[in-house]
Amino acid sequence: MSTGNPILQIDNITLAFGGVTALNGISFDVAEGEICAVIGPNGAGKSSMLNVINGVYVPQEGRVVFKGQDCTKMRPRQIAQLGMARTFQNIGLFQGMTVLENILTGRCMKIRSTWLEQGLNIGRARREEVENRRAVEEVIEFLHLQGIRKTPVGKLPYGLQKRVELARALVAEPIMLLQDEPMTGMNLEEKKDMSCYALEINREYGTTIVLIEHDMSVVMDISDHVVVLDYGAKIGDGTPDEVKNNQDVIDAYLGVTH
Amino acid sequence: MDTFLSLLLERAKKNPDAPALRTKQMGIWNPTSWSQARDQVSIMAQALSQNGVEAGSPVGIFGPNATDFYLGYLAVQSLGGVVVPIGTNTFGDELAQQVNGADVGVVLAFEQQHVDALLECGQACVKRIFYINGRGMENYTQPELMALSDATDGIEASAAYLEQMEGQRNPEETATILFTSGTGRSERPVELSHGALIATARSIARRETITEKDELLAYLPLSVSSDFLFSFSLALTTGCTLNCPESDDTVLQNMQEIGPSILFGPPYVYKYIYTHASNRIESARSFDTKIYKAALRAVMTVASHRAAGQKGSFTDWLLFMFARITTFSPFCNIYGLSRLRLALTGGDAIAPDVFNFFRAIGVDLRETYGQVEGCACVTMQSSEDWNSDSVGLPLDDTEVRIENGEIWFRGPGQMKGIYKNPEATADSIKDGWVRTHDAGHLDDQGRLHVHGQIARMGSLNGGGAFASDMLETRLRSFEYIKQAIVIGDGRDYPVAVVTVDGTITRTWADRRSLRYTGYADLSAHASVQEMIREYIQKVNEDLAENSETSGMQFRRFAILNREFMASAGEVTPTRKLRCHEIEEKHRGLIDALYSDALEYTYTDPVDEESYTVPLGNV
Repeated sequence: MSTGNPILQIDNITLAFGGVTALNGISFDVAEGEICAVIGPNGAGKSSMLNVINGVYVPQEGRVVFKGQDCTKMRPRQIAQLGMARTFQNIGLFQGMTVLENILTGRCMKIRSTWLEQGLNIGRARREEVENRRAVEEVIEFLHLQGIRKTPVGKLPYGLQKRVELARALVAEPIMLLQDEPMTGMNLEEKKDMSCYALEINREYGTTIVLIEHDMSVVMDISDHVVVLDYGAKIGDGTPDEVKNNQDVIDAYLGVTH
Repeated sequence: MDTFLSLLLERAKKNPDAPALRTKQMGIWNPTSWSQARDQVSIMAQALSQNGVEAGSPVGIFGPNATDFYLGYLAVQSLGGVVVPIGTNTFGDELAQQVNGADVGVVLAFEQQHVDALLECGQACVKRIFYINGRGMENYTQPELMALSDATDGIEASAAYLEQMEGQRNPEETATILFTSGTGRSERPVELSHGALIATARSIARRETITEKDELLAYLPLSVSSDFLFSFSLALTTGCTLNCPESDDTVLQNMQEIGPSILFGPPYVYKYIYTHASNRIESARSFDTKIYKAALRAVMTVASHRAAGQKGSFTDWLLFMFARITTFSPFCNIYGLSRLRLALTGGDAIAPDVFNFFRAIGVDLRETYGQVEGCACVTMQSSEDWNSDSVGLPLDDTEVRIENGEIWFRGPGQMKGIYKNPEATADSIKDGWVRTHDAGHLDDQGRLHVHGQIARMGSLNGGGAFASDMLETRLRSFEYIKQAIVIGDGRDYPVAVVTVDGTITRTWADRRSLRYTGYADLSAHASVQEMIREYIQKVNEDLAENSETSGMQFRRFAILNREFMASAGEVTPTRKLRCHEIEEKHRGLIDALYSDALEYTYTDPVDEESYTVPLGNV
C-alpha cells in the first residue's frame, strides 16, 4: 500500500521533563499508506513520541511535519483537523455512554452546524445527523460491533472496549491513525483479531498507521516499517527483517552485560 | 396447483408494495417489497442460468439467514433447480457430507468464512462458488470463485422471464433437499416437493388464519427443515413479512425490535428465555423477587387448573389477570413477545415446566410434531391444549396411525423420497405411509402422544421398561440443567450425564460466594453437585409415584466438565443431542458410572486437558 512519499517527518525531536530527557534527537519518516511500528522496552519513550506527534507535548527541539505542514506547535485539536486520530493505552471512552454514542463522538470534527441549528434540528444539522450516523454504522459493521450497539461501554470486557476505541478513531476518517499499545492486556485470539483489523483498515481505507507495541511477534507480522527506541534514543529503523537482525536491538531486548 | 415461483409472481401482482422481506442494514430495518423481490429474483435467476443451473441441478445455499438467500431459493427454484440449504456454522466433514450427499454443483456462499470452508473441504463436485460479500476476498484466485455482483452485472430485471419459467414448472418438482438431523440414524438427504411444502404451510395458515399482516423472524440455521417451512414457505403462502436478523448474536435484540407475531423455535429457544429470566430474577433485589414469585404462583395456579380441565375460583382468576397485566405484560415486552399471537415449538420434546410457564404468562405456545420426511410438521396443538403431553391433531388431509407402537403418517406433506437412494426410500415409505421411528399413541380425541425414539427405548436388566427420551425431558425441566443424556438400556439401572447452564449456575454460585475458576471447576463443585442431586431425587420421587415408571429411578449421575458441543459433533444444528456419538465418545465415563468409583479422570479430546469428573450417587 505504501507509496513511498513521506506523510509524516519527525526531525531531530528532543523532549525533556525537567532533568529527564524522554526523547533525544529522534528522526524518522513515515511513508504514506504504510503500517509503521514504534517498539522498545518499557520507558523507552514510545508514548512520549506519540504524544509529540499529535501535539499533546511540545518538544524543546526539532520539528514534526505532517502532510507538508509544520505542526510542532499546533494544538491536538488542530492536528486532529488535519486528519490524525488516535487511541489510548489506558482506554479513554465515556464509560456511561453506549457504544453507538461513544463512536459518534469521533465525528465531532465533521460537524459544521451551529448549536441553534442542532437544537431546532433544521438545515445542516439534520443532514449532518444522517451523515454521521451512516459513518458510524459503516464502522460498526467493519469492526463487527452490531451486537453491542446499545450497550453501555462500562459493561463491556476490555478487549471489546479497545475495539470500540478503535472504532471511534476510525469514524473520524483519519488519514493517519495512531494506536498506543492496542494489544496490551489481550489474549492471543484478541491480539490476532486486532492485527487483522489493523491490516484491513490499512488495506480498505489506505490509512497510514503508526502503532506502539512491545509484543515483537505481533508487530513483525503486520508492519512495513519498524522504529526501535531505547532510553529515548533511536537504535533501529527499517523493515522488520532488518530490525530483527540489528545487534543493538537484540541487545536492548535481550540485555547485554555492560 | 402452485409452485413457490407462482406464489411470488402472484404476490408481486396483488400487493407489489407490501414488504416481503426485511433486514437490518446500517442499523435500520429496510424492507424489500414483493415487486423488488420479483425483480431481484429474475436477475439472480438469469445469472444462475448463464452459469449452468438448470432443471434438477442441486444448488447449495451456504450462510446466515440473509434476505439474498431467501431470494436465492426462489431464483434456483424458478429454473427448476433444487435448493440445498447449508447452515452457516457447517464445516469439515459435515459440510463435505452435505455437499456430496446432494451432488451440489453450484454454491451460493455468503462471505469469506464460507468460501474458506468450501475450499478447505475440497469437494470435486463443486464447480462454481458465488459469494455475496467480497470483504477480504481480493487475493483469491481460484477459477471457480465469482462474486455474485459480477455475475449479475448488466442483467436487467424481467418479470417476463420469470413468467416464461413459471410455465415450465410443476408442483411435483423437488423444491429442496434437506438432511435428517441424524440424532439416531445417519444423515439422509430428503427430497421435498413444492406441492408438499405449500400444502403443509397452507394447512397451518388456514388453522391459525395467518395473513400478510403477520411478522416472522428467520433465525434458525438454513439447513433446518423448520426454517424452510416456518420461514420461507409460510411467508410465500401467506404473504407475511420475513425478518432477517442482523447477525447471529443480535437475534434476541432483533426479536425485541421486530416483535414477531408468529415464532417457531425448538425447545432450546424457550428454555433459553425461561433460564435467562430466572437468572435475572435470581440476581434481583429480594423485594422484586418476592413480587415476581407471587405473580408467577398466581398465573401457574390457573394454568394448572386449565391443564387438569378444572374450573378455578373467581379469586384465582382475578389474581391471574392482575399478575398478567402488572408483571407479565412488561415481561413479554422485554423479550419481544408482546405481539406474539402464535408461538410454536417442535423437533424435540419441550420440558413440561417450560411449556407451562409460557402458557401461564400468556404466550400461546403450541407443540408441533414432524420430521423432515413430513415437511417438519405433521401434527399441531390447538389453543385449548393446556397440557404438554400431547402434540395435538394431524394437519388437514393428514392421517396418523400407530402400528406396533410406531407412529406412521401419510398426507399431502410427505416427502418424495430419499435422494438417489431407492432402498432407503422403500424402507421409509410403505404402501403410501411414512415411518417415523418414533413410538407413540393416539388418545380418544385423536390427539397424538409421542413417547420418544424407538431406538432409544429398551429395557433394564431385570425386565423393567426404560425410555431415555422421557427421562431426559424431565431432567431438562430444571433451569440449572442445560443438557442431559440418560443411559440404561440393557444395564442394571439408569444413570444420567448432565451439563449445567453456565450463566445461571454462575449467578447461583456468586450469591453463595462459592470459589471457582471457570466452567469446568464450577461444574465439579460439591455444592453444585448437591443442588443437582436434590433435583434428581425429586425426579425420582415423581417417578416412584407411577407404577410404570417406578423402575426407572436414577441411581448415579455425573456433571460433565463442559457442555456438549456442535463442534465436537455431539449436538445437531437445532441443539438436539446426538446420543449415539455421545455414548461412544464418553464410554469411559459411562462405564465408571456403572462402577463404585466416586470420580473419573480423563483427557478431553476437545482441548487435550485432563479433567476429573466427580460421580454422584442419588
